Amino acid sequence: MLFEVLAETFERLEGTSSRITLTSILASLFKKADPDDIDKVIYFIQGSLWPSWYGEPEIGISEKLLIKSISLATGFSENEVENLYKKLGDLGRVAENLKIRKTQSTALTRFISSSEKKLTVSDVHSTLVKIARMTGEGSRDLKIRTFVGLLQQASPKEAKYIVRFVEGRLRLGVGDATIIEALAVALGGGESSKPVIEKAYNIRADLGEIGRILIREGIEKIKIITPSIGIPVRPMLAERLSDPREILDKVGGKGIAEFKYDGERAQIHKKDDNVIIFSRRLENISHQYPDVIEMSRKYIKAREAIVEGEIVALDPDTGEYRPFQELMHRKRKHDISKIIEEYPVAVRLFDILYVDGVSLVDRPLIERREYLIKYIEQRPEFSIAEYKEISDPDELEKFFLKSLEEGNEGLVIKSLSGIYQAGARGWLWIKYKRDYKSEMIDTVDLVLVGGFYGRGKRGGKIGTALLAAYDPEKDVFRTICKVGSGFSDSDLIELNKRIEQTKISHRHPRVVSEIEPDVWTVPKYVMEVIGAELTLSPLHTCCLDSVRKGVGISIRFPRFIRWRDDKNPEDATTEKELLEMYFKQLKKIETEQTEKTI
Amino acid sequence: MRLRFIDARVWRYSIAALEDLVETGLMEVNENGLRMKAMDPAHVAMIDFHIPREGFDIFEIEREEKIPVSLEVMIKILRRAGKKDEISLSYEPPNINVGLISPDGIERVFQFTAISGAGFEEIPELSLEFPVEASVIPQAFKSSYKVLSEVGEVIEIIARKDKMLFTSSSELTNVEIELSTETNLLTRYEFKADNDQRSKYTLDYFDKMAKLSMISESIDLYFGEGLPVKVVARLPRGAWLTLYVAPREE
Repeated sequence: MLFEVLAETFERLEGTSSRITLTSILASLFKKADPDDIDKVIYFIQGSLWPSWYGEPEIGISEKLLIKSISLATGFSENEVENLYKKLGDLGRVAENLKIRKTQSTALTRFISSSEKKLTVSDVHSTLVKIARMTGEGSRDLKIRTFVGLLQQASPKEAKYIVRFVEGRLRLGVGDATIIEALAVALGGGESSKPVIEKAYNIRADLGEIGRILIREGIEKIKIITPSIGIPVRPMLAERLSDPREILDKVGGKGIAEFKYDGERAQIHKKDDNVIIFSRRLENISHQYPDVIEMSRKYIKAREAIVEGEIVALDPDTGEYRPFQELMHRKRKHDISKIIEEYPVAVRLFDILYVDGVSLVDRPLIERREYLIKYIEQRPEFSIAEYKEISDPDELEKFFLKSLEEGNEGLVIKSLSGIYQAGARGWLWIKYKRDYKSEMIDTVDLVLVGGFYGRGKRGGKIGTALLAAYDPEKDVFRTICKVGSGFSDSDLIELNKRIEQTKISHRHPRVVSEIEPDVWTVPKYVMEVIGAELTLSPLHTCCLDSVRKGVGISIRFPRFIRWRDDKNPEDATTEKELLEMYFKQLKKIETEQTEKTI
Repeated sequence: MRLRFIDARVWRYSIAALEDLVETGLMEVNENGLRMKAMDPAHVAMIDFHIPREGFDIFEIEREEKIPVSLEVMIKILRRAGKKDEISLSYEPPNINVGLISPDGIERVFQFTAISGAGFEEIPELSLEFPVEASVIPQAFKSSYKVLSEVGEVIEIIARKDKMLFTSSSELTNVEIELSTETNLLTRYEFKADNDQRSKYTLDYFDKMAKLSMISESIDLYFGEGLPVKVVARLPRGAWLTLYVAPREE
C-alpha cells in the first residue's frame, strides 16, 4: 500500500468526530490493504511501530532533532523552522508547509533522470524501524540523515504525518475498539464479528497480527485462535467487594479463595528453554527476573506453557514476604546478579492458560487448577498461591485475616466454573481487600517474649523475635508481631545473647499468646519497632476482640530500630495505646496502585 | 579472492570517508578492480571509491564478488595501519581477512564476517556536464577546508573567468579564499560558462575529503551553478575517490 493512501486516510480521520464515520473510513482503508502490510497499517493507526511488549527501543528523535531534520530536508534554516513552529504549534504542519514552499529537492537524486519512487507503508515502516534500532556512537547523526532521506522522499502531506507519528502526536481519535470494529466490517463479514475479533485480540495482544490472520485466513481462523507463546494474553481482571457473604453469593456460593500477594503480576511464557515474562501492562520484564526464568525452566513440566502468578519479594534472611516496593530494585539494568541475592523473590502461581498445544482459556477454573497442579513442580520459591475452596463466609473472613497476617493484601475469590476472560473485568474473580488501613507513623516499644530460628545465613540461630505489648489492667503481655527485619549482624548476635539469657522451656505465665515460638523467654527486654501499618490479625492476642470478635491487632512489615534498655517491660507501649493508634490513623483506602491491581 | 595493495593509508582514509556516510557498504571486486559506492541516507552526498586491477600488487579472483561489509568494523581495523604499511585482503565466504603488513614484513591479520542478509540501496550513476573544472593542490584544498570550517557551516563556491573563490560566513566573520593558476593553488582551470557561477554546499561533507587530500596526488573539482559539486581525489596507484555533494537551495 502506498503511504499516500494512509496519509489521506489520516487526513480524513482528523476531520471526523463521529465514531460511525471513523469506523467506515478505516474499514475502507482495510479493504485496500495488502496481506503483507496490513499489520503495519494497523500499527501506524495505533501510533506505534510495534506492540509495546516487543520491548523494542523508541524511535529516539527528539523535538530538537526533528527541527534539524526538517531544516535539512527542506533547505530552510533551523531558525525559520522554529519560528514557523511557534506560529503553527505543530511540527507536522511545519514540515508540510515548508515542503510545499520548497518543491525542489536538494537531494542528488534530483540529478538522476529516473523518476523518484513513491513511498509505501512498508518503506516508511522499515526506515523508522531502522532508525529506532540505531544505537551507539554516531547513531544520532545517522538517525537524522536517514530521517532526512525519508522526509525528502515524502510528499508534503506524507511528511506531515511522518513527523507527527515520530513525535507521538498523530491525534487521530481512534482507539483499539474502533480498529476492531472496522476490521469486522471490512474483513470479518460485518459488525457481528466484532466480539470474535475482540476476543482474539484479548488472547493475542497484537492487533497487527490479528489483522494479518484475518486478511489471510479469514474470520473462521480468528474464531479458533489460541494463545501463542511469546504474544501476551491480556490479563483477566477482578471486581471488588468487601462483604464475604456477598462475595460468595456472586461466585455461586462456593469458590476458590487465594491469597492476594503484594507483588508484581507476571505472565510467564515458556517454550523449551526460552522463557518470557510479561507484566500486567504487557511489558516484557524478563530482564528483571533471571531467577524466575531459571525457576520456570526447571519447574514448569511442559514443553510449552503460559502460566500466571505473582512475583513477590522475600526477606533473604527470614523468608517472609516484603512489600511490593522492594521489587523496584529489580528495575536496575546493571548488577542484576547482585540484586537477585539482595532482593530474592518467590513466584506464587494462580492460573494456566495454555499447555503443550492446548488452550485452556475456555476451560473452567477447577479444570485449569488441575492442569496447574499437574504441570508445576512445587518448590518453596515457585509454588501455587495458597488457596482454599470455601463456601462459608466466616471461614472466608478467617482466611482473609490470615492472608493479611502474612503481609498480603487480602484475597481473590474465584468462581469454580469460571472461564479465563482475557482482558475483561468481571464477577468471576472478586478481590477482597481491606477497605481501611491504619498507617503507622510512630515507633512503638515492645517486649521480647520468644524467638524463631532463622534460615539461610541465619540458620541455627534465632533470626526472628516474637514481640508483645503490655496490658496494665491484667498485668500481662499480649503478642502483636514477629520481627525479623532491620537487624544488623551485631544486632542479631545481641538478640541471640539476650534470648539465651532469658530462655525458658515454656510460655511465661504473664505472656498471652496463640503462637508457639521455637524458644520462649521471660519478658525482660524492650525493643523499639516501626512498621508500615497496624492491621487486623487472627493470630495475635493484642487488642483481641477490641475491633472485631476473635481478631487482634498486628504490625505489617515490622522493623527493628534499637534496644530500649532504659525501659522496663512494664514501660512498653500498652495495648490501649496501640488501639488508639489504630483508630487514629484509620483511613479509607481510595486509590490503588494500578501496576499491581488484579 | 586475494588482494594486496601497497599503501594501507589509501584504504584507511577512503573507508573512513565512506563510513562517514553509511554503516555498511558493498565491496564489488571484478576484473576491472575494486569499487565501493555509498550514498548517505539523506541523499545529499555520494562517494565512489575505485582501485583499478593494475593498482594491486596481487589481484587474484575466481569470480566476481559482491561482499557486504560493516564499515564500522573495517575502519576500526584500518585505524591501526601505520604510514608505510601494506594491506592484504582475502575473502572466503563468509570470512573476510584484512592483513596489515609492516615494512619489516610482519603481518597482522584481522578476521571478521561479511554481513548476511543486508539489503543495499542501488546507487545510481551520476552523469553531469560541468561548466567549471579545476585541479587544486591537495594541501591548498585541505587548508582551505580548515579555514572555512572554522568560520561557518556552508561553503559558497564562486567561479569567475580567471579564478575560483571559496567563501564562508558566520554572524561575526566572513572568509574568502582565492584560488587561481596565478597563485599556484590551481594547476589547471577551465571555465566554459558565459557568466559567473555560484553555489552553496554543506561544509561538513568535505571533512573526510580534506583528510584524504593528505595522501592525494591531486584534487580535481567539477562545478556549476545549481549543480552538485564533484571532487575527485587522485590517489596512488591509479586509485581514486569521488565525492558528490548536492547544492543547498536557499
